[in-house]
Amino acid sequence: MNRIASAGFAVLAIATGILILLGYFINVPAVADFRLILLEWAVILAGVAALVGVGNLFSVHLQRVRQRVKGSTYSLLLLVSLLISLFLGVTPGLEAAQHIMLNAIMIPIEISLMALLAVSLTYAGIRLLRHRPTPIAILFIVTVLLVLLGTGAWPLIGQLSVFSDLRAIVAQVLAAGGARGILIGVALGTLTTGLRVLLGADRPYGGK
Amino acid sequence: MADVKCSMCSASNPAEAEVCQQCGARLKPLTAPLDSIHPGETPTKISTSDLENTLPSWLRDVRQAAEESPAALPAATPEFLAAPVAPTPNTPLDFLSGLSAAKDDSDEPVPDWLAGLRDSLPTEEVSQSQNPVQDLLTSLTPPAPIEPQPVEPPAEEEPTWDFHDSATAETPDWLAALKAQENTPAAPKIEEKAEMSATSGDFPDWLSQLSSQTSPAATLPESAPNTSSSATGDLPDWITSLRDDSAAPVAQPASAEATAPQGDLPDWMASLRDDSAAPVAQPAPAKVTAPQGDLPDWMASLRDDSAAPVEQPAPAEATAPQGDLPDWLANISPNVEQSPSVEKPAKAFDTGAFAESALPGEAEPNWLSGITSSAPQPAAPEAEPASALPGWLDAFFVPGAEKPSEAVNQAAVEMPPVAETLPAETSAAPTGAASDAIFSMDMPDWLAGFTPSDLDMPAPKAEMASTASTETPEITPVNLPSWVQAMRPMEAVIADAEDVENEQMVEKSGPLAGLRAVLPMIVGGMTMRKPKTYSIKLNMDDAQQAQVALLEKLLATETKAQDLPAREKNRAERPLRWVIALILLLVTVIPLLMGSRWLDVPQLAGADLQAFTETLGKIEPNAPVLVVFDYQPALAGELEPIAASAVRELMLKQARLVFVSTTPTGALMSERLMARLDPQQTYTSSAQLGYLPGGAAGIQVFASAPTRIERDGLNGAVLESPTLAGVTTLNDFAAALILTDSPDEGRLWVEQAAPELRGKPLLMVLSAQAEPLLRPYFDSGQVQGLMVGLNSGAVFEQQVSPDGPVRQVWDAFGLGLIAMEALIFIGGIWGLVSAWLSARAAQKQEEA
Repeated sequence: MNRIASAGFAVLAIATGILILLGYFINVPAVADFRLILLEWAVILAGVAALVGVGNLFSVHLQRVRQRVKGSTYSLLLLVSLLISLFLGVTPGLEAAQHIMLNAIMIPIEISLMALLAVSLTYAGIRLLRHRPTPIAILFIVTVLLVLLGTGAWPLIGQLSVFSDLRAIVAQVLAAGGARGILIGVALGTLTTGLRVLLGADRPYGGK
Repeated sequence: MADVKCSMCSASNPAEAEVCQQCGARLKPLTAPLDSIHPGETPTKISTSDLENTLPSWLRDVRQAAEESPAALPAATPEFLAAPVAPTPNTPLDFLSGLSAAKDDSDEPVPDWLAGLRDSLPTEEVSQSQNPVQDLLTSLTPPAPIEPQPVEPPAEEEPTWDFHDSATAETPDWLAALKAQENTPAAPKIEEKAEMSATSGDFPDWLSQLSSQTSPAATLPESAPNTSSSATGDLPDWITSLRDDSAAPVAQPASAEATAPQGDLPDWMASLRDDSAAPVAQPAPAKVTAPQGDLPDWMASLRDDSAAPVEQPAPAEATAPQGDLPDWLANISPNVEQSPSVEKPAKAFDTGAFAESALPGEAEPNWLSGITSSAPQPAAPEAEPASALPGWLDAFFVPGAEKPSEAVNQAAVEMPPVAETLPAETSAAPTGAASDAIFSMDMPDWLAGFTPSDLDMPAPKAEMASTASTETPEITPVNLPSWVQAMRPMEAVIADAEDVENEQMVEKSGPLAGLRAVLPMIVGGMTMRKPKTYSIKLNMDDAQQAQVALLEKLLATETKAQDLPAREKNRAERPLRWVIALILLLVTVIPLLMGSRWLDVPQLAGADLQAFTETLGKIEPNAPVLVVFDYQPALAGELEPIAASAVRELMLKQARLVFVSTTPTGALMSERLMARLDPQQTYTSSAQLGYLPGGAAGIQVFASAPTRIERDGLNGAVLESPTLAGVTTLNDFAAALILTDSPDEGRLWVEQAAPELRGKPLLMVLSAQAEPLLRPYFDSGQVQGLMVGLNSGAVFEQQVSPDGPVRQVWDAFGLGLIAMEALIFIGGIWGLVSAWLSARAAQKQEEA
């Protein structure tokens, strides 16, 4: 029975994948509509999954609060914030409160973290050559300095074209080359994964 | 032709050579190979004299010397052949006749135990010692008294040996000499033997002679030892010893026996000597008690069987072919003595008798049955020799047996008649044709009829066993050499040997009829046995266990992360962090608070920015533009100023802005931006589609039908907004502006939505961290314009609306970068110097 169900699941998944794939190449209204229905189902499921994730997060931290484990205070704070945000989000007429939360809490906190990141990276750059004075570390520091010099402008001097060009080379040639290789790898991996799912070799929906 | 290699010395000889040039061994056999007899064929009787050619050369020489002239015997022949031989018709096979001679002239050392055997014998018994072979073959004669009958020579057409008639033409002279040597003073005995042989008409000729000949050693001339001593130089030791034993005069004292050659004498031959020393008058001498450690089984049976006919006179020269006789030959003696010729006159050696002998289901081998079936053994002369016997042989001796004479008498009394003791099925011999067919396969004719005729006697054997169980053994077991212990029969060491034999089946039909355990017993097909269980536990010593433990430890450490060495705490770390934070804070806050314009804004735009500016400028007024807010609030400080300049440009064109986001905070970020650009909210050509879940699928659905989700969602009323008027597909938008800080989000939009734009421009406002991964899409033409980071934003802002939000943060951004560059550079130099100083100090410390 399990084998029959597994085979049925595989057939369903493969047929669905093929229909979705055909929608990219064949302009048939029926196929496009069916493909769109399936995609909407996927979107709904993704939204439900996000809701399930929120529920799971809530239950986990609620359990921590009940057990009074170490750090349960933060869990309590998270639960309160979640409930408040949910209330403000679903309650009509409270959009101003949402903006206050965004502007007064979320954005300043996240930006502050980014600022701390800037301080931490600066400190790491200072300590790097002291603890690991290797050629790779030196090269890294030199690259960072070049990009920074090419990004900003100097007082009374303005932006140095030499550093700007060096930065452009680093960002648009060297880094872009590596990034393009990464993108090609991602594309090949995605293609392979899709084909394996379409061929039934991989069954993330269950079975083998 | 190829050379012929001698089988004796391996020397190469010409092909035509008869004998080896090197060692003189015969290369070509004198007789043609015997044809094998196939099943169903009746064996053809062939003169057994042909087999004389197969005898060893030394035996042939002896025979030849005997044939040439009796006068030359003292010089050319061994003394035991030269000894006067009475025309005894009971002479056995000629090649064994030498065993009847005796000698005592060898000075070779005698083993202690053998010497002890001889010393233990009473002088009286030694004086009466006879040829052991005589005793052995005496058992071949029927025990029942037989009336003298005239000896009739066999028919001439039968090429058989007839030792009864010395005048027979086929009897060789040397054999006649042997007969003369075996002549005994008891003339009536000769007649009795002759009569016995006459009654066994179906015996092979030579075997008939065995049963009829008698040669009491007491009649041997006293000169025999002298002659033998002069002629033993060419004989093997064991032969000379046999001669010594067999030809020992009865009248000689025991001291003469003690000087007999015993050095290289095999044990079983030594037993023969001891047997020969047994008193003749006693019908069952100490034969069984003789050392039998190496005695072949068939020989033991012969000896025991010979002891059974108690009241028979001990015949001399019973030198049966002991060396090569098979086991079944050992049963000849009980057959002969227990089955009188009057009861089986016609087929004394019926071939079917072999099958009969196996029928009773005896659990002991033939040789053992021969021992157990014999009479009780005398105790006195055998006690000491038996001490040298192996343990398994001790069981065959009757502990505390009676004196030989008494034991023999008792055995004779208790011996049931053959007809009574024989099982019914054994008494009924199979038909001659069937039995011949059984033993007609690949068997020489002289052996084909040489089969046991009767069975062992189970009743006496049982009596012997009961006697052995009740009497106390007087034989003390001794420690045997290992090789002797290895020769013990398995039945003696295996406890369930008897059970195994009981399981053996006797074949009752076919060519194997009468044979036991020839084929494996299979009842009902394959015998189901529980497979033997083997322990899976490894037997490892300490060293192996230590190695295993070491290997396990190594494997465990492979998967365990190594603990990083504890980093030394530097007291300067925390103040340094505070210093860095303070410097960055100051250089960024002070310009913002002061609103400084210390740093110039770059004027040069890259190709990406130029394309972005041109594309955005081509958007027609009041055209729907899709604006995607996919950046996090954390990066709002970078993206919001540059996004604001781009959105503001669109707003200046009165573009219908449709906001959508794939991040939960995207909608809020768009409202925040619009609130920043239009605090009074006068711009009404905008629509907020909100959050788009589903990742790539959501983008695909939105790209296929932008209003489909909103139609079915809670925010369906927005579709009625004039901003979305005429927008049903993504291609209906004049352009798509992607504001993102994530390369993945930007990639999804490019890959999923760009095809649906169908030529409409796709512009992207990116964070500097997303540039490397999204720039390839611009290079490939999938993205028509890029604006990356504050640097490009400042340039774009300078082009469209100077002194915008980017310019307000440009000094703080620039000074902060300068501060960071300075800190990293100074800190790097300081770190390198510190590392160099530390290494130098360590080097100096090592050198010191």
